[in-house]
Amino acid sequence: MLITLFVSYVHAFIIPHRFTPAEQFDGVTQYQDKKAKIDLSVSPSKLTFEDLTLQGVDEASKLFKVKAEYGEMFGFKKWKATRHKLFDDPNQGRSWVIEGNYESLQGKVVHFLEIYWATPKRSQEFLFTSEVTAFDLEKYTEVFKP
Amino acid sequence: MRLFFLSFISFFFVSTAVAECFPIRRIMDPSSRANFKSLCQAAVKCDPACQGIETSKLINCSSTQEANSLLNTENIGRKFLTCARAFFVDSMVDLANTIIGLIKSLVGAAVDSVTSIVRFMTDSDFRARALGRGNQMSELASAFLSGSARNFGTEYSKNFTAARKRVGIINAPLAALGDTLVKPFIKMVTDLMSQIAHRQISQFRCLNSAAKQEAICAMAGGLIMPPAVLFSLLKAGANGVRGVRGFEGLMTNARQTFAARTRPTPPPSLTLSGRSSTTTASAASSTVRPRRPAASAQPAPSTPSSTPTRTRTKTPEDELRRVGALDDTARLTEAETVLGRALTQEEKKAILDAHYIGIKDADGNLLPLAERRGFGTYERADIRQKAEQLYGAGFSREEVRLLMERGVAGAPAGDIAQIMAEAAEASARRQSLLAGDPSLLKYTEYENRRVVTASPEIKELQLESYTASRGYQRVARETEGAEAIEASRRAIDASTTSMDPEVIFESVDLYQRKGGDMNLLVSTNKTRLDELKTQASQNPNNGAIRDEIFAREQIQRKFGPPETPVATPVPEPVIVAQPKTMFGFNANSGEFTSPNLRTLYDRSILTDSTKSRDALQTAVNAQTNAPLFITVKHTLDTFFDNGWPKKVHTKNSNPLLDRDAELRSLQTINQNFFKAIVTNNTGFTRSLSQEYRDRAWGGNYQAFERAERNLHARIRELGGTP
Repeated sequence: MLITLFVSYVHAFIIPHRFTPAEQFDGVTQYQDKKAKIDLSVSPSKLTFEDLTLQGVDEASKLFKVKAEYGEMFGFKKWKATRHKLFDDPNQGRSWVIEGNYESLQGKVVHFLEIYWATPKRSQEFLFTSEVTAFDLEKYTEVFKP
Repeated sequence: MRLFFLSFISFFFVSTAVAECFPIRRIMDPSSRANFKSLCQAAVKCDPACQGIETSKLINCSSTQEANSLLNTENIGRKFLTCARAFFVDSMVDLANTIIGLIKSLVGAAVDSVTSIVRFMTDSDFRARALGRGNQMSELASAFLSGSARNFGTEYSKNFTAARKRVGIINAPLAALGDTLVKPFIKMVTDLMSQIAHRQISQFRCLNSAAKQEAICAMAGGLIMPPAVLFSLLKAGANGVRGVRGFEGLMTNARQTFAARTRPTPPPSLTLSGRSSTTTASAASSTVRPRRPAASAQPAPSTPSSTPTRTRTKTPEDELRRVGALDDTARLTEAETVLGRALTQEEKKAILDAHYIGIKDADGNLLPLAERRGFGTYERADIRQKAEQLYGAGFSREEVRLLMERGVAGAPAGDIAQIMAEAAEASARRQSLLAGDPSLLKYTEYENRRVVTASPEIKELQLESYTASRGYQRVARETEGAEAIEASRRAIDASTTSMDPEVIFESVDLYQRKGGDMNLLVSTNKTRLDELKTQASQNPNNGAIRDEIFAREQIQRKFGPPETPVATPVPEPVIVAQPKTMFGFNANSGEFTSPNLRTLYDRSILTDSTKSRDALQTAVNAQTNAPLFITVKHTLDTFFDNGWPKKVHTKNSNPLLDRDAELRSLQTINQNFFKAIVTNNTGFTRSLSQEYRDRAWGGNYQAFERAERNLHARIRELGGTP
């Protein structure tokens, strides 16, 4: 029974196993890669595979400044997206990846990689953050392996 | 002695039972240092707001602390946080999601200006249309904005872990919020709660601790949960909420939850003069014969003053008098409570207009006292006019009946005459105390406990002075000409022994507004002040003289000619953004890294503030709260004794001696510590006091606030300005 659960867990988990569970809040599950000092927040998404389109990305990217403005209410200042790109892979689904940084309450620069991911069967949203190293949008599969 | 004590108690109850109902906050000013328990009992018995409270929820004044809490405004915010803690912990991300949901709706609906946001909140059609457009936002755009909750969750998680180590699991949830929601949300809500409690729900102060907490929690739930209210708070602050439809209804419901479950039987309402039977709004169309107005205003049927006891039950007449005597704001609040709904501006105006029928003439001027009409002396035409006024504003027949039955649209007859009599009674009592044994009128110091307290006679003198002054003020406000000037002059005289700067200044302001000769007042005050100072030098223990000197110095300072500037020994605060000397703190314990630094700091607080300023600046900018909290605690332990500045207790065997030195010392501590200018990590330059209030909580916060309050009170006592 335990083995079955473990196997299904491994298959369901699309991030590297170096991420271990941390604090959990209603609706947002936290993970940590303690060695690389990367935090990860995962939440379910209402997105469908069809929603992740170039038009959708174009519309959503217009809201960057809105997020930057209202983000200050939630503890991340000067939110800035440096690059963003939509990846479409027939085997791995579609991923909209946003790379950028913001300033934490302690005044530290926090690098982030935000991923909206959907396949015809499931969809999820991921937020990778690190105060140590910046993420490279093109190498997103180093932390995310759908 | 026992007999004297019993007679004093019984007199106190008798006198307070018929005393004017005054705002508790005024007499409970900490600077008065009065007997809070006695004042609490008197106030609860007398205050109209306390009359309708369910007995089990009413404060019983059993302890000084409980009595003192009547005026402690900060407690409201604290109680709110206590109540909201569980809510925040459970729903932190939900809360963020709720806000983000609103942001998404508004962004998608192009609701981006303050005007359109207000319209969004108050116009249901506009909201429906806007949300319709908002729903057209793509799922991806919607998901993108929702991502803010993940950012929040990530940052909150880190803060929570750090805060748990720093302040423990109990306080961590709120401490972890840092600047996320504290500034824009929680502070607004706590401010709002205080405003509601004090301005809109007058009964709040009468509740005991458990009931207060229950009420706050009920309101907190009602205020936080509706998204419209929540978003209004975030965008427009506390004032924004007032415009939200349904807010007044929420408040009305909250008020009703405090009130007694069994309301008294409707009292006999707008009665015609000389009639014993009751006549309600329907009397406007009845066949009752009109009567001539009474030749002079007759006192309304009042409670027999000879038999007041603490268990006296409230009669319908009491209720009618209570409601009839309310001021305009409280009257409208009462109207909303009675009707169980919010009122429009037109309805509010109609109620006040109806109330003033019989008090003002057709031109809106106050009628002479002898011509005013009230319960028992109204003419039929008055009642008809009141009813028509209310019908004209759109009230239903049932509502008009309720408003008039409960006395909301009326006033007690002879109200002012009765207040005048009560003020005169309090004034006579004040005079007899002043003429009595001066050795009783003193401040006492218990050397072994280092506590300074006032004698019962001084406390009673302050209470009677306050009551008399407020009474005469009311008379002055509602009269004109020589009568008003004389009443305000009496109010000034009475206020000089009240130890309440507010009542002193209000009395003088009133005198001025009513046409009193200010030059005469100032010169008389100066003469009297000189006399008092001579008397004080001969009789330094007389607290009444000391109180009056305090009051007259306040008057002289505010209304007299400007004094020749004197070089002040208090160092001027210097605004400094960054510390020149880097003070070392242990990040975990928050202690100074060496005893020498602590000594430097202590010396600096009492002298030039150079080092203390640097130390406080460093503590404020530290990564954790520990250095700031520990430095503040160390300062309070060093310079304060149970919240009182130590100098008061160590050098106060003769309080009138060495006052100047003590004042200088206290003002220096005030400038160098509480008013020290610091720049926090978000770039705001403000006083340490303001910074600490935003960062501390629980016992730390209370100790700081108590010390600052007591220090200011002592400075004021010594004639200084904090």
